[in-house]
Amino acid sequence: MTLSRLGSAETIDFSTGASLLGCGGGGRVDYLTTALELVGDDLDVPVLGVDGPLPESIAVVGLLGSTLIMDEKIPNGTEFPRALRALEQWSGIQIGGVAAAQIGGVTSMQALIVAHQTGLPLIDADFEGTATPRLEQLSLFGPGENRFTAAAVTSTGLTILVADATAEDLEDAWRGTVADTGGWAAFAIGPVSADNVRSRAIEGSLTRAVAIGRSVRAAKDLDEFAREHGGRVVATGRIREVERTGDALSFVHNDIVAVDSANGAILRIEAGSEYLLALIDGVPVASTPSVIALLDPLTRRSLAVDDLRVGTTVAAIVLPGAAWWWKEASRLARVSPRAYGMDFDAVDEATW
Amino acid sequence: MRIGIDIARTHADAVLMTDDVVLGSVKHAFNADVPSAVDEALAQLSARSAFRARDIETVMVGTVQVMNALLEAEGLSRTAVIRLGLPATSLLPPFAGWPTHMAEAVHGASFLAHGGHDFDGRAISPVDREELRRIAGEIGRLEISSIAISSVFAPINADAEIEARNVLRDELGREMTFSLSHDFGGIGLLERENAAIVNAALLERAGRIFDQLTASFARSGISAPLYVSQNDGTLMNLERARRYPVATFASGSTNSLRGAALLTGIDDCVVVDVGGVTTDIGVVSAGFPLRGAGAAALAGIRTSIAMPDLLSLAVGGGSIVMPGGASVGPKSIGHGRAANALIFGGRKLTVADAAVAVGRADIGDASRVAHVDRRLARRVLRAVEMQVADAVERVQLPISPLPVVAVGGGAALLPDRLPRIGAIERPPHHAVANAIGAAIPQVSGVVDQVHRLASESIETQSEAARYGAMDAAIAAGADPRSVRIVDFDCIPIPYLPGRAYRFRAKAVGDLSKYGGTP
Repeated sequence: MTLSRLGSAETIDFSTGASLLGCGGGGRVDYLTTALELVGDDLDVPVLGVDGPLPESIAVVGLLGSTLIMDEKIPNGTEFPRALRALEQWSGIQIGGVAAAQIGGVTSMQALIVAHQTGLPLIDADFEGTATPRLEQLSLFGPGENRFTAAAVTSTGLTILVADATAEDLEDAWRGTVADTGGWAAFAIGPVSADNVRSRAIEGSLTRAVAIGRSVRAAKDLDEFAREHGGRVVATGRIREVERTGDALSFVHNDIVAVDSANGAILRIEAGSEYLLALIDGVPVASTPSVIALLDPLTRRSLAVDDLRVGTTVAAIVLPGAAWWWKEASRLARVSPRAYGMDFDAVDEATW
Repeated sequence: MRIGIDIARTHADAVLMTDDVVLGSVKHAFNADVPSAVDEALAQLSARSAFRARDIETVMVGTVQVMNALLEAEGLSRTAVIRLGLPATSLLPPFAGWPTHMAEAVHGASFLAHGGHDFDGRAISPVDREELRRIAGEIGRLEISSIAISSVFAPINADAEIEARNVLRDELGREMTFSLSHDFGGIGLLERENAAIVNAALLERAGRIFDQLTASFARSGISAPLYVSQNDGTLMNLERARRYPVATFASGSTNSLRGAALLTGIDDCVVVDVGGVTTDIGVVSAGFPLRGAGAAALAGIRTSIAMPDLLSLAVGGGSIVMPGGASVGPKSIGHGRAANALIFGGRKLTVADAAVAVGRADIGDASRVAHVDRRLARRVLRAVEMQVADAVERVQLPISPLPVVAVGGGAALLPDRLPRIGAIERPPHHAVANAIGAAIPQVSGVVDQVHRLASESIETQSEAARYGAMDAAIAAGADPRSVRIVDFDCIPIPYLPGRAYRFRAKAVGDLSKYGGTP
């Protein structure tokens, strides 16, 4: 079933699904869940499928910088509307719809909030399928037209508009500045044409997040949940080691080892800001762009990479990633483990 | 010699200890009146172990009363909240996400004001004294005696909170009490602010609770300094406990877990704490309870207060056996336990009755359960054992399982071996493990900060965080020679270049016998 509206009845399912699709990154959803609950019954945003009619000019919204810092320096709620306004002022074109840059974590929830604030429809799509630390990994920046205008509004209130920029340009222009101006920023890219969204977006992401959130909460057990979504539980056990180091690409690298309590198998998870690769007894069983999530088996809460400690009990679940990435080798190369500096091929989901 | 006391819902337990040796213990069941229960426990302890009041050097108390006051929303003070951080943070004002009935019980007024810092220490906006004076004027017109102040990145720079408090105190007078968020945790504004609000709302109620406690000791002739257990199992002095009552929330369960470790000498174990109404299963690692991942919610409020990761089963010694014995609990006898179990002259078959009927436990009047069908009793106990074994399995380390220790008043109801788990340890004095945990003379200090490294090395900043935690432990009364780091991590901050790290350090030391000033 495809969503046509997203409202207060879906808030918990949506945030639960967005959190799981964050693959351990993308920021904690709790605060924004509360923000959505404060909106209450007024929250009722129209959702447009990519296969139906779309507005001609769409803004792709996302967050840049540290979501941990955003948990401390909470938004005031004007950042995204201001970024949208900056795009409109620069281009002279009115934005007709909003799409989340990535479904995983807090970004898609921010997209819902900004759609509610501005009265714009939300597109049932994203540009990652999970969460990513870097703009150039968004599927929006494919071959062909890859220059867009984009505005970032930092948490200190600066607006930084960059015109005709590639993803690399935006990283260059924004990332360092954001680190110097409060640690996070809201951004909007656009106007992006409806055609570009149709050909580059990962379809049905909001629908998928709500469906995942609903069934992870309702399923008899996590096995049933994973199977329902074409995936599986690869291990359930306790974490024995967590090692954290710096990393040039993802800014952080985590090496997590857990022991499967059913059979003693060793689960190793390689993670940057998100879980990237899962190995059982040294054999890769899942990788980006598939969804790798670690859940608390008791509460079914998705655990963030920095929640993990020695002794934490986890259920490692893998679900298929966005099919979009698998359609061409050049696409896959952008999100496979090698794109994160790990010498592994992407694990084919058909082997599951 | 020292006395450890643990006050739970239905029991006040007391132990007399010297070093790690238990000289005497009392387990006293009570109904509602805590002060007379403490008097009675102390009188019984005195009668059994014949100590002289002047020989008591220290008294350590763990109590669930403050947490229960919150859970029952009873005796809470209306609180004003001032958050410094404008123009940031207004998406989620104070009390966002609180259950309605709790917000109604606590909310006095709430204000967003200027102030606060960025993660790199720069000011978001200067504190506006005129704005704060206007806020003080509004608060002055309300019947409010407690104020919580939070500011963005207060764990890195608390100056804004302190300045705001000074302005408000000048305006509103010294009777006004303040809870500043930087005293209640690290990064995570809402959770830290919530802890400060809850603390502010509990100050008066907690003050009365601690007054009653000191009065009980005075009546018993004991004038030794009083320490109170905090959430991680370490101690704070009474003055500090009066100012930071939320720091007592987890002390009950923490003390049981730590008491079990002390009694067995096993610093890494799974602890099964069987009480009258519930059974809690938790893991002790290096002598401290494992914490849950993420923020704990209490009374539906997410706070920065660290709680041990517990699996709670709604079954204990006082749980009623359903007709036919097919199921046990969760309707427990609870408060009326002593009067209601068969062995205590009651009318309902309980788990404790079943254990006495099959000769596993020796409590109450065994003749009163002589008529109980032994097969039914065994089936009941088996059902409890299976529930406990399942829970232990869920928290147990898979390949090299930890030893399992059973404590609590109901530990005698468990067999010597659990199905699928194997042997369980039940140390002497297991029934008063919580009071023994309360009497562990340790204090702690914590640092949780974000730093963006400039020219200094990560090692230098790590050392600074460690020393900060050790200094805090010494300031809390630790003997400097005994202070050690028990927990440290340094996590690169995701999505941010430029060597930004979160440093967390915790130090623990032995309580100085020479009267440190915690």
